[in-house]
Amino acid sequence: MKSPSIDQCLEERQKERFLNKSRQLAVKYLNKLEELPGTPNNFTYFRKILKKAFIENDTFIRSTNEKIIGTYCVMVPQEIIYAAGARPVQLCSGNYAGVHFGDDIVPRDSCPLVKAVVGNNMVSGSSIYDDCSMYIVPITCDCKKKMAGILKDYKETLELHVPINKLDDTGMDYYVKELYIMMEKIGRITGKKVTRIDLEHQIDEMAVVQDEIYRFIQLKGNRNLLIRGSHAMAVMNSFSYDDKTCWAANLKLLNNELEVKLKQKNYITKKKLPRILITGSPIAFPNLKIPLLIEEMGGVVVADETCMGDRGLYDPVAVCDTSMDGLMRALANRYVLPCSCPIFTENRQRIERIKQMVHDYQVDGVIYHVLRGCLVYDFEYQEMEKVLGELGISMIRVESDYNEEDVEQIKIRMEAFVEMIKFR
Amino acid sequence: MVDQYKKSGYNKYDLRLVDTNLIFMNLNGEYKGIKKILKKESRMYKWFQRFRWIFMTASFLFFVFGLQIFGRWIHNIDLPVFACPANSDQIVHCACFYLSHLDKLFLRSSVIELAVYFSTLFLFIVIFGRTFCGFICPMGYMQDIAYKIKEILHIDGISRKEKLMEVLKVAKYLIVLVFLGMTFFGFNFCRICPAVITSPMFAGFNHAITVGYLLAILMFVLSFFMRRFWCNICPLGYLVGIFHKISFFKIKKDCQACTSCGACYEACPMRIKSIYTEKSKKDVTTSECIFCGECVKSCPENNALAISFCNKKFYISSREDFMRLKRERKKKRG
Ligand code: SF4
Ligand code: SF4
Ligand code: SF4
Ligand code: SF4
Repeated sequence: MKSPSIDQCLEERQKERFLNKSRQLAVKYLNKLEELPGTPNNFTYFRKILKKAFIENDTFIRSTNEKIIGTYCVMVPQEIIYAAGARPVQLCSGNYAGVHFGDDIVPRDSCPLVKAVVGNNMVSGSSIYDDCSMYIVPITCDCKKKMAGILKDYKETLELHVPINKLDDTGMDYYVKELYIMMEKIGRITGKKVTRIDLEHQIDEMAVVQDEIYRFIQLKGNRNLLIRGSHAMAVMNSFSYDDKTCWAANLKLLNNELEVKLKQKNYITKKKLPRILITGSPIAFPNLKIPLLIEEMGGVVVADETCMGDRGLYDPVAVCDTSMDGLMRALANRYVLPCSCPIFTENRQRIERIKQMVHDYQVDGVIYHVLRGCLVYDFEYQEMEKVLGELGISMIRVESDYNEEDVEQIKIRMEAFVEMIKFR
Repeated sequence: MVDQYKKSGYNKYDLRLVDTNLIFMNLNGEYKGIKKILKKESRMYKWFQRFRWIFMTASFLFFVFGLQIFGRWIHNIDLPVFACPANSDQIVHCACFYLSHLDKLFLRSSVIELAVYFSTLFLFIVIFGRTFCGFICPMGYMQDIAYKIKEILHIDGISRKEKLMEVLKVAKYLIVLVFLGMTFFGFNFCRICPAVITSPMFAGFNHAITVGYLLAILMFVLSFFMRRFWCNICPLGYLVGIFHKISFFKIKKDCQACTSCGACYEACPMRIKSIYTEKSKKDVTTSECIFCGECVKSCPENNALAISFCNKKFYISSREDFMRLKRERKKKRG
């Protein structure tokens, strides 16, 4: 056998380093979650699947031989992937280690999430990426668009065109057509032709999951705190790393636990802590820096309006017509119309959504999270501040990057913010 | 807003313990109010559509065989629906005949008859508005049946197309002109009216095959693929609809609760877009709305949409009902 060249050796070492670093990061954040007071007993399951995906580097699917389809953003209808006999896995990454590698080919000013994704792909080794048979990238912001181009070098990548203006019916019609193409492409990989019954069945299954999610969101927004927002975000983040039915069953256990706590008035804290809502750029595991910092500084996260949290999973599919076309349209509507992602040109609904959340969850302050380089979210900051100011809700903009260097600075601002609310 | 909420001292989740199956959020922020609304609402989500079908079926029978059973006792009243009085067995008259024969109305009727005609018609329109379309009109019923068949067969329909709707809008205005005006030019709408397929046909009053019959078949086929096709261009419905501002039935929206999910738009048989795009007004009733309640049924947000009568909301959307409905549908399918 030929001995490995120097290049190969270097590559191996690099890969080792990358995997070690990613693992360390995941371990660190999982531990932090664990150390937070008031971790529910049934959180164990969610920790386990995060651990499996990010530390043990194992995809739940390896044993069953099903095909995995990697998805980015939240505009990819999961039901279609399930119906086509594959499993979706969410690949938007919060991995700090990936950024180092991604930096080499992605411009400096682009967002760290995209850098991390590209980095994860450059250094193979993380199983959730390696096991995918195909990527589906909705063409949302500029960085994601270019990312789709880069990912083509590593794997078959399908671009999913998302309408730029949701009010435009022609755009929606086009999106529905795209979904048919997507369905066919996945079908080609799994060798299965999707029937109407399959799709309807999967929509039903997902509805069961969503019922639990809705319950969870209600419970977590309870006036007296039942679960910390950081835990809740981790739960939401873990959604795509296990079988959805199993996940839902475990969420049900967690919900039941919280409900019992509610009955017994066994709240996490008796004190009245500032109730914070997080909105803004995606917060993907393990990058739970922001919610953890809020809770360390004495605030509580009661709601989040980020895509990796509540937004992606909150809206249900409203089927009005049970023909194939009707189901596809219902899915298209669900994954695009209520999505308050700022990549859409007109996004008044996000402000209304936040106003409603502020009301429903009795929010005291809003943290507007912006990942460095994430322009679309930054664009909407001004108006949001104005509207919330009129309501008397304070908001601060927190910019962060995928590294630990900004922690101290964010901490100081967060502390000041929390104190300010307390003394109001 | 928030302060007022806090002051009310009401904890919505502790309320849930009354019934752990209920998940709800504040509808108006008062303890008693919520329980009441919820009870009513959870019956409503089941009953609104059922009631609509029962009512429509009953009124269909009423229009077709009414006279044989009850005799002609309210003959002087005209309802704003498409139940053709060519069926002389009909128990109540309908307004379309005189509206499409305006010359006859003015030439032949006495002043009192005229006054009765217009005042009752106006009263009906103000009180009920286009609920006539959603609950009574036999022409609407025939179309709903056609669509029901499609639903059972799971055949792809014609999805909403804005361009098509624009064309239909123009067609609608033209038809209104024909409907009201042609009678002065020696022709009248009755000769081409597709409503002959409704009550006259079922009551056995078959005249010679007219253009109306062909149109009727066309309408039936089209409404199989596109729900309530004819209603989208119906002149009578349009004329009733223009009074929606003063009508007692209204569609109400809480724009803050709405997530713009588009479910209402998708469900609406009249393809009313503004109901989903509206972001500030409370009253989203348009002249097209037939109060079929499909939008409220498919809206997943609490209190986002409601049908109200005299400002009293009686059919309110909620996530809990939405989920229940889904579960029930799933159970039915097995
Ligand atoms: S033919 Fe049509 S317009 Fe004429 S009276 Fe009958 S239903 Fe009315
Ligand atoms: S719009 Fe439809 S339901 Fe209303 S009167 Fe016309 S045909 Fe009847
Ligand atoms: S707006 Fe609602 S009630 Fe009115 S026609 Fe459309 S679905 Fe029916
Ligand atoms: S269905 Fe309800 S939440 Fe969705 S757009 Fe219509 S009103 Fe808004």
